[in-house]
Amino acid sequence: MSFLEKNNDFNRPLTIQEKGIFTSINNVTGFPYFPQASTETIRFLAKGGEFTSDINSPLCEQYDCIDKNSLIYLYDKLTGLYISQLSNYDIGTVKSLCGHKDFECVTDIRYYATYNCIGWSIGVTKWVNPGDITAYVRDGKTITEAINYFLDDKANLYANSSSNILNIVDDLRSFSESSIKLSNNTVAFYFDCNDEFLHGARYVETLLAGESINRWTSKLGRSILISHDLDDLRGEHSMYGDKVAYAVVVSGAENQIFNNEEL
Amino acid sequence: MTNENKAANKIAGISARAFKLQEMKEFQSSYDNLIKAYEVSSLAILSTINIKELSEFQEWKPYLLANKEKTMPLLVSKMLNGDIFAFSIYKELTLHTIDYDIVHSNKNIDDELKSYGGAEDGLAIVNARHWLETKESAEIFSNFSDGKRVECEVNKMLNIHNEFVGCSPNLDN
Repeated sequence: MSFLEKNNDFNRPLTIQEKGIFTSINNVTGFPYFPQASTETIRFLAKGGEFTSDINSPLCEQYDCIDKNSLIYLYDKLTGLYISQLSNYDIGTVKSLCGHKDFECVTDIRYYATYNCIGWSIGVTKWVNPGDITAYVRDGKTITEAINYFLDDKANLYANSSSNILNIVDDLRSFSESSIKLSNNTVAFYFDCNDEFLHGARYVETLLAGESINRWTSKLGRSILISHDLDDLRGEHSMYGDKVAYAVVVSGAENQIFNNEEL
Repeated sequence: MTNENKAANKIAGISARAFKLQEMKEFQSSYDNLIKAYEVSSLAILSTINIKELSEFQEWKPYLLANKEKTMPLLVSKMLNGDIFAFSIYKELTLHTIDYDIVHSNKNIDDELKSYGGAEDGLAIVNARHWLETKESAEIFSNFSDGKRVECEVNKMLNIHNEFVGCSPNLDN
């Protein structure tokens, strides 16, 4: 079950604290993080991740579990010297040793199951760095080419992977037109004046079995999933840059023809 | 448990032995605090983890650098488990970083990243593996009495060759 499905306050207004994400002043620019954001109309859709201390949590199967190092170090309390790792011991032994008066355990267990904006945009529960697209631009590709190289690469990896956030990566294709006809699952890639890719948003008509949205949706880094207008997150001083390029869903057949033409 | 998990545990053991109890507690506490600080900062809304922008990290960085022989193996251990925060810290402590420019220009590394899932946690693992091939890694492991043995075991486990470490094929050295 995804964070979206588990959600009790789907499509609610932002809290004051959440509004602060957009209106706080960026010390570098002196402007709000998202100067054009209309915080009264941006809606909360789902939380961004979940902490768990359970190494076998299904969350870590569904999402990227950050900090999934699960080591337990046993030390001699008196001398302060390291004795052993307890990671492979059964829970009873670990509890017994860590509770012993002569020993002390230092644990390193903290899992944060999450995904990011690019993951949301293309429908995979992964932390996909937008720097992956930027690197193609740095290599001399046009913006459209860079996005398509990235999409092809990720489609090869994730097209058949299970996803609980509507996997669309294998059907996406970017075109050089600056304006597009908005349709379900159109993706907007945000980038700045240096052509550094910073964010991905996805236009959805419905979510959660028919709940009407008809808006752009964004996962904000490791933070929350929202619905918003395209311009809410862009602008000269926006954290996500001012420029936008699009990718739209094409049918499998159209995609094949496009690929053949490319060749 | 994968070979990467097993290697991570072995490497973490090296650091744990070097740290005394109090120091290890302080390291874990600082790491935890760093993540918490990141979580409540504006950086949390970015899709690239820029730990260097965090003042808490800049305050901790001199310690991490001054104690690199202990902190680096611990970070690399976390990276072998796919920890992208540790990877973000790692990038600030070493010049041995594989970024997406390198991934796109080197098919072997690209394939290696794909084998680890193609996302940021995979890149953390790839970077940890390649750090284990460096002179820096050999020098850091040589600081420990059993460092060479552990490095050789880990490298064998991960099918890595470090030209700066003389590992015998049967790991007797």
